[in-house]
Amino acid sequence: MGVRSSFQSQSRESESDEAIERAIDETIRRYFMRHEPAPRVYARAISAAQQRSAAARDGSAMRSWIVAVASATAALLLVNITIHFFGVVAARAASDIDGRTGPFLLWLSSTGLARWISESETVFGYSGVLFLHTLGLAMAVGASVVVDLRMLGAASRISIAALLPVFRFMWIGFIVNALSGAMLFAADAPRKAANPLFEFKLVLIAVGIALMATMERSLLKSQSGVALAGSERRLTRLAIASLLIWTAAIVAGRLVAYTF
Amino acid sequence: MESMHAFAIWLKSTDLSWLVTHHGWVWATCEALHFIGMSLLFGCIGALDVRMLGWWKSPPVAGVNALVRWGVLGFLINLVTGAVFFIGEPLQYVDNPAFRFKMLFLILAGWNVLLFYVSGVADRIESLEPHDDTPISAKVFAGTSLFLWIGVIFFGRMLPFLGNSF
Repeated sequence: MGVRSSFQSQSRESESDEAIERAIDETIRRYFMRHEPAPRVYARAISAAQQRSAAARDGSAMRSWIVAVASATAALLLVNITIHFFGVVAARAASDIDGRTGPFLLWLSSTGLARWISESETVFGYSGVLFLHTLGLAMAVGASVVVDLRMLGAASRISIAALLPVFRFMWIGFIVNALSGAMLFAADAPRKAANPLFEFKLVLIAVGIALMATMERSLLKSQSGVALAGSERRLTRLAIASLLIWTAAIVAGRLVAYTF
Repeated sequence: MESMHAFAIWLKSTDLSWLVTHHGWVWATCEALHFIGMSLLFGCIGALDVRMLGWWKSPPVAGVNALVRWGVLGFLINLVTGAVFFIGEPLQYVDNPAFRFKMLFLILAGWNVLLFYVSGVADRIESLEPHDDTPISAKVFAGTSLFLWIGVIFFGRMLPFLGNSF
């Protein structure tokens, strides 16, 4: 009764299409209030929606590959630039260690812990601390890379909010490396302090950690419901910066081992 | 072992080996890339391991699986750069006990990956949603994987200390 009567009463006043459409809408609404659509209608709608997002995923995976190749190229360039510029500076500084060594650095390298690390032949000495430093690097940068790749569109089935626990692994790796790094520095303080590459490396790590902390904060904010305007784009930019900075920090770290 | 030694001596005499050791930047670049590859491998494979162990349960398993290809990329980077080191200085690796242990752990890690996929455990957990717990078999594979990769890093780091490599 519903459709026909309302249709007729409307059309008697005016033959406007608008009224007809309103009547159709009303009928559909009433129908679906009483009848649940068949499960396969749902299934079809869901699979249609998923296929679209799969296509979008392919697009972002492509973008991730481009970023990866760009990062690798940037890494190669960085190595060469760093060797040519900082290597020369480091070599010059090497001849000038004694003049620059202060009493603090001498005291630091003469402490029991520092001498244990540099003189012990066992795995609990220098080699063990160096292993912890490498494992901490793999954890901190590895966790950062997971977050960065997700921000750049890889593994899009991981929700952004689900990334938050990953930062915990990054912080554990960072703490391991701060402690083991301090020990390695103490064991060889005067030489490390004289190496400009070492300072460069510390600056890069500080920037890298600051970038990750910024990302973590903005994820926490978006999780607590505070919408950030353009936060997606900002996070993408932070992810690219983070990948480049960690690459540069690793290159600088490796070169510290060569220049001294 | 004798033939291995002869092979190392021959390899050292090749032009390719000379190319690696003659230019300082080749070794330095490969070292940096070896560490970058390590971070990529350990981060992405470790992510799947901690998901399976239940230390990071918020994503679906299939989501974390999509990171594995990046871990494979890291492995390939390290395979190539590692081969460059071996070609450059084969004699400092063939007799090095740390190198043999590293290779042993690598082979075991490879077997672990193979068994993980062949045994069907990988397929069984593929559909797990966020916060789902993985079966104990998956946890064993994940724990073994973490142990073996940390072992690979350990013996890699020990190359200059247990043997004579740099």
